[in-house]
Amino acid sequence: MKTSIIEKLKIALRLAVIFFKIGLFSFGGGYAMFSMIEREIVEKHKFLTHSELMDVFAIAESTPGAVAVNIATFVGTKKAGVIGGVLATFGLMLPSIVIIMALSYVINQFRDNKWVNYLFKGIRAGVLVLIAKAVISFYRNMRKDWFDFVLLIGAFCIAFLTDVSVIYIILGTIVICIFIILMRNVRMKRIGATTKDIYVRETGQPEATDSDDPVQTNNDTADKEDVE
Amino acid sequence: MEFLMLFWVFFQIGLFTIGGGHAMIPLIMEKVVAEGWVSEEVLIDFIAISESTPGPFAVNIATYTGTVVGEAYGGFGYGVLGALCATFGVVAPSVIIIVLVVKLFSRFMTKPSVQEVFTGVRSSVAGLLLSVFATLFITVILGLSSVWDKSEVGFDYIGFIIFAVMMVAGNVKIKGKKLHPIAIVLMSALMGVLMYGFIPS
Repeated sequence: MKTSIIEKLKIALRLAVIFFKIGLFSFGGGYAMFSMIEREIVEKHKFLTHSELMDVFAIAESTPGAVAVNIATFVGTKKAGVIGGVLATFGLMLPSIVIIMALSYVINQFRDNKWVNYLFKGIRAGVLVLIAKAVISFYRNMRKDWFDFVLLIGAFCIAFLTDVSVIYIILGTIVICIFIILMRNVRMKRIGATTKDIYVRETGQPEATDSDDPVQTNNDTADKEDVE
Repeated sequence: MEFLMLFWVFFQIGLFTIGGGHAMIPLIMEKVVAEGWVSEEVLIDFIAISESTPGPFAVNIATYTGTVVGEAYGGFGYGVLGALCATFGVVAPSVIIIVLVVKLFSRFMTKPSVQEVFTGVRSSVAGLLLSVFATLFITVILGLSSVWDKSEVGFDYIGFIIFAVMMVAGNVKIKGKKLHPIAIVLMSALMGVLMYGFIPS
C-alpha cells in the first residue's frame, strides 16, 4: 500500500518531533540513547516492534557514522521515505546545534580567565577517564577470538607509533576481515560443507527463511549484539 | 574554502567511523589537529563539553569544532555557518548510507559474514581508542607532544591525581549505577579549580 505524500509528511514531522525530544533529553551519545529510543519509538508511538528495533540497532552500529543519527535516519526512511529520514535526523541534531553554539559562545568569553583555565586543566584529566572508560566498554563488547586481539594490538601499535591515518587502519581491517572470511568459506567448501553449514557455524542457528521484508525476519543477528 | 574543508573533513570523519560516537575520537584527533584548526588540548575540552551536553556525541563535537573554526574566521555569523557545515558533513554519510541500506541492502547488512567484518572493525577501533588514550596521557599528564618527543618530561602530578581519583570514582557502582560522564566532568573541573588554584607547584 502506498501512502500519500501528505500522509508521509505527517509521519515525518511526528518523527522529527520525537527525535528532537530524544536529542534534547539524552546524554552520552548512541548507547545511552537506546533506552530512550526504545521507549519513544516502540512503547509510546509504536512505529516499530521491539525485534524490528533490535535489527535497526544492529545495522546502525555497523554502518558508518554516529549510532543515534543512523537510527533516526533508519526509522525515518523506513516509515516515511527519504524525507522522513532527513527530517528525523534534523530533529535529532537541532537541540545539539543550538545548545553547543550557545555554549561555545559563552566559553569563548571566559577563555583567558585564570580560574577557567584551571577548570579546563581539571576537565582534561577527567576526559582521560572518559576515554579510558570508552576503551573498557569497547573491550567488553568486542568478540574475543585470538584474531581480535591481533587486530586490537595491531591497530594500537600502528596508530600509536606511526603517522598512518586512522582511515587506512580501518580500511585495512575491513580488507583483512573480508579476506579471512573468504578463505574460511573456500576451505569449508573444499571439505564439502555447504553455504548453509557455514551459516550455521557462524551463527549457531539454522538459516532464516527468505521473505520480502528482511528486517523483520533476521532477528537472529540482532540477538548477538550486546546492547547496553 | 575553509567551510568546504569543514564539510569535507567531517564528511570523512562520519564516513570512517564504525561503532558509534567514541569510535570517532581517533580520526577527529588526527584530522582536526592536522588542519591546524584547534590544538590537541582545546580538542580535549571539546570532548568534555560534547560528553556533558545532550545529544549525540558526534553531532556535538562537529558543531563545536565548526563554531570555533568559523568564529575564528570572521565572527559570530561565520560561527553558525561553520557549525552547520561541520554538522551536516558528519551526518551526510550516515544519511546517504542508511537510505541506501533501507531501500536496497537491509538483507545484505544483517548477513552473518557482513556483521562479522564489522565485529572485526570494532576490535580494531578498541585498539585505536587505546592509542588515543595513550597519546592523550602523554600530552596531558607527561607534557610531551608524542611518544617520540625527546624533551624533558613535565609531569603534571595534580593532573595525575585527578585522573587517578576519577578513574576509581568513575568505576565504583552506587546503587548499581556508575558515575555519569557529566558527574565525572564536573567533579574533575572542581578538583582542577581547587588543586591548581590553591596548591603551589
